[in-house]
Amino acid sequence: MSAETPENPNQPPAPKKKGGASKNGSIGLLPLTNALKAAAKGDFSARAEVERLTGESAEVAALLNQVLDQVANRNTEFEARKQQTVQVVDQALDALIALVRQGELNRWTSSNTTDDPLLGPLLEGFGKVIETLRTFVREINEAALRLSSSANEVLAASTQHESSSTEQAAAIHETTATMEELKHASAQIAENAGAVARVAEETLESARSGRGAIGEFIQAMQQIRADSAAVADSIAKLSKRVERIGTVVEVIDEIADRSDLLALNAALEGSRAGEAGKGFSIVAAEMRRLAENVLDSTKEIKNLITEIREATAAAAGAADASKSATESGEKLGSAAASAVESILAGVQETSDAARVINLATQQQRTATEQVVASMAEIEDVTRQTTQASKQATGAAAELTQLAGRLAELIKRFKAD
Amino acid sequence: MTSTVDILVFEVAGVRFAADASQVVRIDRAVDEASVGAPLGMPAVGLRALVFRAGDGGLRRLDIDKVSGVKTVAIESLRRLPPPARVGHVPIGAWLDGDEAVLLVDLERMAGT
Repeated sequence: MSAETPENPNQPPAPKKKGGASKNGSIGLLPLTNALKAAAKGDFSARAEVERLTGESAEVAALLNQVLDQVANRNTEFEARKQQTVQVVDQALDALIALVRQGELNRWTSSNTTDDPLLGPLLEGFGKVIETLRTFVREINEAALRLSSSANEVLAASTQHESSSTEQAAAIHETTATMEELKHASAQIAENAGAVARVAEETLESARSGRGAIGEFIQAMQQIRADSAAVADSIAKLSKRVERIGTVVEVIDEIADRSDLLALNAALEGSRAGEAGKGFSIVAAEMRRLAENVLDSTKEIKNLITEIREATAAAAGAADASKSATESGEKLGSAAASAVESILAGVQETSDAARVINLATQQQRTATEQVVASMAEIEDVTRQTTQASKQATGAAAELTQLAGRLAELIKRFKAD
Repeated sequence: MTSTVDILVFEVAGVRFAADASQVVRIDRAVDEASVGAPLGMPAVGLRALVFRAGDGGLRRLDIDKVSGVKTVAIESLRRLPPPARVGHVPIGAWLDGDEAVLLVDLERMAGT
């Protein structure tokens, strides 16, 4: 405006510079020159002294001052814009430095904007990069935490598996040792079962022999009973005959006694007859002697009969006892036969069972040996499994350390 | 010439006695509760009985064990017991049979006792 009114009479005249006047007293274009020289040096605050000029020079000076005013204004705007740009760039640099040095991604916010059409997209791209990095850091942090947790779980599981494998290996080792002992025991059992089977077979043969012997015994008892019955019958007949003899002897004894009595009385009569009866007395005495002999004989016979009676009674008793004994023997033999039959059946079952046991123990021994071999293979596999578990545990531990390290590294980046 | 006499020798409870054979009517079997008693002791078996006639003419029985026989002996072999020994007693004397003395009894007197 001032340029458009360079000849405004109200405008105060420009101050005169010392020495600015030409030699002839005219200052010429010096105010213009001074203003241009200052502008050339970057000082856009200097102005041409319009009041010291006249005419076209004053008009040029006014236009120059207007131009310088505009330049100054533009320069002021430029400086302000420059300051703003520097500030934004400094903020971006600070954010980058904080990101690089401290891993901080939270320095850059969405409020970091600019009106600069050229710098705006750059800042917008920078913000997107930072936001993308934040997202990555968040996801990586979360993944690192999950990884660490999973690694810990894997380590725990691996440790547990290693412990279990170790215990399993120990248990399998003990089981293998036990199976080895069982194998020896099975072999011993099989040997004993074979011996039992042989003994059972021998016992069976003995029981069969015993059954035959008991049968023969029973037949012998039956024969003895029949013989005893015959003996008892003979004894009964003998007893009857002896009784008959006794009756006869009693008759003889009675006759002898009467004869003795008769002879005594005859002798008595002979003595009464005197000399005439002497011969009669002699005959009577002889008769009496005969009668006494008979009585003595009958007495002896009676004694014999008594002995025979006692003997026959004893024999009858013995026969009865023998009969009872043989009957008891038969009953005992029958009972023994039944018992032996039961024993035989039991021994037969025992023999069969012993054979089955023998066969089963043989199979058991074979199976046990196979189990022992399998247990050895299982023990070998278990040993390998234990070794692999240890390796897995080591790897899991290393993985846990790496996961922890990763989590620590990710923690350095502060996204929020 | 030596005088002889017939005596009947018998046993009661294992002891031998002798009596005048003429006093014995007969020899019989013993019958229960028919004897004059047991003046010579209780017979062991009592199989025989001497039947004799008492002073009243009746027959009496004396159960004995055994009759040894009728012996004809010499008078000299007989001995009388002294009167004090004979009073009230059956034995009247003894027959010496060798070294053994066999008491003589009077059956009639026995029946009177």
